Amino acid sequence: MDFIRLAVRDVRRNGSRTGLAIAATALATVILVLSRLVPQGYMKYLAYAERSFADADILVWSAPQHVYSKDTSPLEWRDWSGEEWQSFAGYFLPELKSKGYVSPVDAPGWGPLDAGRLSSIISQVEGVEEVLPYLAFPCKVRVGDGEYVDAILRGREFRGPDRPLAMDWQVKRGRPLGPQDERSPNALVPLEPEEEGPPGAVVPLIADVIIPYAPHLEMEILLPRPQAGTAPSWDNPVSANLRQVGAYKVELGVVPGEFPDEIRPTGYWKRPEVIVSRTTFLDLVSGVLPEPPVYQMLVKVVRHSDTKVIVERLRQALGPDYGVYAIAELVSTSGDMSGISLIVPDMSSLMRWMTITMAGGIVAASVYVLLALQTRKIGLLRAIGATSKDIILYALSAVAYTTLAGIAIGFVLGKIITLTVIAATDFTFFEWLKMAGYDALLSLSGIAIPLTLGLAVAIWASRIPCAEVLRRE
Amino acid sequence: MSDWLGPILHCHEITKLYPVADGLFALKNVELEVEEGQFVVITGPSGSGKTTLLNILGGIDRPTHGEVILKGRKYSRMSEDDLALLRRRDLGMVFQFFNLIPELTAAENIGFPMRLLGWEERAVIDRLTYLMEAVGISGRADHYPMELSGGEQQRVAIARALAVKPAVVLADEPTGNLDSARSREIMELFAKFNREERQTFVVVTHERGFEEYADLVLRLSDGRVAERVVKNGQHGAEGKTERPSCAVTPS
Repeated sequence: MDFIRLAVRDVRRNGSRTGLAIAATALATVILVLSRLVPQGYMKYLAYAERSFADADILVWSAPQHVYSKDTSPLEWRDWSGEEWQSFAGYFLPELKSKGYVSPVDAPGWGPLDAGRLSSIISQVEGVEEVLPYLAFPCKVRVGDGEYVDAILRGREFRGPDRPLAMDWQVKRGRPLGPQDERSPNALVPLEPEEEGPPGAVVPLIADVIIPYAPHLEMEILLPRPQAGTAPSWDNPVSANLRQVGAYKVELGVVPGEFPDEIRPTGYWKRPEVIVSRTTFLDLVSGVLPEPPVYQMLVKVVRHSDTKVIVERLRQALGPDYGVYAIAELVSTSGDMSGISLIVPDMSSLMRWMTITMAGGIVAASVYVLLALQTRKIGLLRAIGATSKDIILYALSAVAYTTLAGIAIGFVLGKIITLTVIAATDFTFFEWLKMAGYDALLSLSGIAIPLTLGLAVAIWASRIPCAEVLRRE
Repeated sequence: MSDWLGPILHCHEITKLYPVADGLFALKNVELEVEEGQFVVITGPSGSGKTTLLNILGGIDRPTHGEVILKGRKYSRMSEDDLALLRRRDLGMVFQFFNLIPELTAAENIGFPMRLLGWEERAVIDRLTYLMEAVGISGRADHYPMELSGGEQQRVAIARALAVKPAVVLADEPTGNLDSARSREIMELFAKFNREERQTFVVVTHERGFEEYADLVLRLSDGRVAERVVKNGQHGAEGKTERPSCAVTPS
């Protein structure tokens, strides 16, 4: 019977104590395994209605700024000087107009973007599938004799229903636009919902505009003339004719699927966008501007399950003068429509470290308790001839046995939990397997933490004066 | 039996001072020489320093002043680990509260010191069989300590202390937790091994009735040797009595 066997016998014969230590380590491992997955991104269909209508997973603006908790630069409140047609900021951050936003004093603030330069930077970020400028311009749509309503003319890529974030499924009347509609006057118009959603549901509304829809209806629009330094002028607008081919409805909380009718919308995003193909838009706007201003970049990611990580990469790549937001994040933080003015984006990484620290603390506490309960026995072993080396070996064996068992159980549990949720992400089973292999290595290397902690406690235990311990009988 | 010629255990001017305001003497200038095969009983009232002296003899406590020498090896020159190895090879310890390893069976507890020293398994089994027979617990080999009575646990502890045939067995109030009948059985066991195997014992007890087993009795009072009684080599036969003046070196 050597000290390793004695330690193994000890942990086996003390079921409740060992069980507690194993359970604590397993819990810590589950937390670690899950913490690797959770901060990476979002579920596949989270905020899918908004994302597919926006044609983006991530939005980039010149403001509001991200205020990092580690920043030391002075901050100030600023009024938001933007217009609805420039971006989705007013929808996702509804209090921007009334409250403004927090920004570092030296940040440039809201304004048009250098789309070419930003596209070049963003497209090189790992995990980015595509980056496009949000092509929009204010317009007026004729809805009756001499009657016009304010709307937004938007140019968008249409490459068929299989394209990621295609909005074909949101076209409820007529047909969606497609590649054949390039440079054509064909347009989509918003469809007024027959109902306002279930009672108490959130109905985001930026403009209560009704554009009548009828198949192939000719529709006149007016575009303003640009003016240096001020808002575009409607004094001498440019007129153009579009043809309605379809009408869309952005039903919040609804996703494309086999039984879409079974999912009731939680509300509607009633944004008065008259949507045409990208080339049609450029042709129309070229009549008033050589190059339309861009206030918002649309970024699509390869995998929504990695969106958080990609957002952080984009923030690093673009620097502090730009606001980078995952739409899923904006939707979840502004879900109650109270809006947000201040976001601390590095909080997630802080939380992750806190989680890891907590897991380490759980293991440390269980290791300490495991050994602290045995001071009398350690004193006895010293009295009958165990050297410091023997005690350290004994203590580390007990720690290794319990933590290895705990890590194994926690790893399997953690992976099973992640397996149950990958159906809701865009990870495949094989990617899960690959991650499992990596997590297994990570978890095994994690044994170093309890062993290191165990070594410290073991050294402490090996120095317990046995006379003291035996005297306390 | 060792081949050591001089006193097997010698403690010289042992003083133990506890670090309280004015300094508290647990022991003061205690002298003790133990010959091989001797049965030494240390008695004294509670707080007289018996256990402190035994802990110092066992190397699990250090004296403030003085020296302990076991088979010519000075404790003061040994590290804690050297002392642990010394206990493993040359000292057997018996405690009042038995202090068996609760996760090991009686046989495993007894075999533990032998296996620590790397004895051949055959030799371990032979010695185990002999000791368990000798202390009268053959039928309890596979029982865990919590399944044994106090007397049985102390027998296992004695067998464990004797397992590797140490130079000296140190026993601290070995009967302190037993009734009088069990206490006498334990002392008889010590006497038996002392007689049959010439095993050296140093036994601390507060019961003066057990002095009859001793070759040498050390009576402590307030940390000093109050009286030292040397018997005539036979248990129970009264011999020379020395008073403190010759037993204690004046400080």
